[in-house]
Amino acid sequence: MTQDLKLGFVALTDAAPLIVAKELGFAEEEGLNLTLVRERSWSSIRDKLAYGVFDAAHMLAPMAIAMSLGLGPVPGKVDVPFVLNLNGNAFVANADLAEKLTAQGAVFGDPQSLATALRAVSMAAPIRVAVPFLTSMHVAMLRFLVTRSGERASDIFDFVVSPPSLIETVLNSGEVDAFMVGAPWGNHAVENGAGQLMLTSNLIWQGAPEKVLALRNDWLELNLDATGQLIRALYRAAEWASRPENFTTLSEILSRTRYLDVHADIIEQMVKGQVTLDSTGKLSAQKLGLRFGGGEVSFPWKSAAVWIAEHEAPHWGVPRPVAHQAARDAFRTDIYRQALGLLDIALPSGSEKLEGSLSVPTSVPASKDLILGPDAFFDGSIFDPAEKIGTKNTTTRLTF
Amino acid sequence: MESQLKIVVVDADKDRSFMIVDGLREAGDYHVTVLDSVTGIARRLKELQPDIILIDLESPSRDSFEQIITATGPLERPVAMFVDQSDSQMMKSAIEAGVSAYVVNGLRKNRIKPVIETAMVRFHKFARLKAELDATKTALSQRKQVDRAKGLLMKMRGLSEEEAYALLRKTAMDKGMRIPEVAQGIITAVEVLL
Repeated sequence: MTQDLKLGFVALTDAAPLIVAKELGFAEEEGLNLTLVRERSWSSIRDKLAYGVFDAAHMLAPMAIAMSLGLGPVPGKVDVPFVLNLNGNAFVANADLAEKLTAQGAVFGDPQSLATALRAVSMAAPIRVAVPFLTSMHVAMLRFLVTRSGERASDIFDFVVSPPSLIETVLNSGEVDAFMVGAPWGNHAVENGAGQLMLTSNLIWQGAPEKVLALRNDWLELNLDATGQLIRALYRAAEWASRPENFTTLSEILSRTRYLDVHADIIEQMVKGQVTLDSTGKLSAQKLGLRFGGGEVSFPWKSAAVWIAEHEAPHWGVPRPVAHQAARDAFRTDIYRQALGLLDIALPSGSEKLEGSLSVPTSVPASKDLILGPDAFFDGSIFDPAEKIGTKNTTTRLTF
Repeated sequence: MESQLKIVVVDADKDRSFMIVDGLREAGDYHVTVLDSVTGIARRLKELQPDIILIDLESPSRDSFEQIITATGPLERPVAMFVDQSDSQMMKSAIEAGVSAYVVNGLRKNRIKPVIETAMVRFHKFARLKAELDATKTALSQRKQVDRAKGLLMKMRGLSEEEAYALLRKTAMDKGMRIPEVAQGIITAVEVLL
């Protein structure tokens, strides 16, 4: 018997696992018939998931944690049993800001130099940055970049919410100085001469979970079979999307009108990790860092969720321990293991790790060969989730 | 006697916002203001201090509106979506109709419900009218194409109007296509070849 599932997504490259699961039949093999509905805003994704219009959704990792904390205008506990991708966001400045930052010593590919330059330039006035949503990795990564020495992020950035597809228009209109946006919209804007690429998010944290699969907690508990089928389909789809020999086909599928509706060439560049620096088409040697993948990407590490909670809770007006607990509870490593235990794949031995400890791909303790990382932070810091224990911490932490 | 409810409708579509305002005026004694863009919305909300804000759920700028509405500043009282969780069926219907409603805290449910229901009815009515209009437009443009293709066949193959139409219909049946598609194909081919 086939089960029908309705899923919401936003037109971004990182919706790929959902789209591939449907288009290449991975979902069908699992007995699922997916209906994918494109939404124009993250608020709509959130509301439609919360009120049961959608069974599951493509979601910003921090948004899932914020929802579970009861933040925002719509209540509802949300679970994350699968990470769709790591990174993929680009920080693009308009010509004026790019010039000022460069004058202050900012060099593409060097986050430290950009952080110093951003702090210097913001002395005159906070830098206005367009982001797709406030509870997002876009915001979390930028705040983390500039506040390593006790600075207040609100003195440096003034965040303005703008939908990804309109972000180029907003930059051109002069309403903002820069934006942080996901693929393919950053490349799109740079190619069109709207701005200059200053940094990609993987240079801040190489292991940053970006978009996740979000399900309502009550729905998940009542639909464990369908959840497992969906996770297995997404696992195969994400693995397929991570293989270089599939990049051209992947970009072609994503470019279709009902999905991203953007030229396949621009998507393919981003999928391959090629970064255009400015409108002359100069390519950077630095890889973009948007990563899809099986076990090395999709495992919902509780430690990564705790990292988000630790850094964003003060901005959300929530006590840190409460946020840590909600984040740990939301990232469902148990559901992931249950769903994929049936397949012959590598599952890590723990559900938390020391974030930032892998500077190169490393083999880690697992049921079979599993290579993780890199997951390093730009400043070389290590985040130990065990120091951020909520009211209960029963998970095993992996150390390398 | 309760004070007059202040409602703000944020919608870039003028025709639809007209319909909503009309509906609300019929439904009760409300003070309704329409805002059609993000520009200056924070200042306007501060001046108006609305009790309820209705927004087109499908607007690409909805995340921007939400940031402004929920940020401390524009409204003195915090807002939440809809009324309370007990009426989740109504909320689901509203979402499906494309209505999102932000309500200031403390507003009683019986005062909100008629507003949201009126907005939902008007959204549905507007969507229906728009679907009818689109269908009419498509039908008209398809009829024009069929007429053009018929004309081309009559001229180039020396057929009568009836024969030209019969040929179009037969081709459509043989190829498993719709008549307007065959007509479009003929027009494109002639444009390319001549």
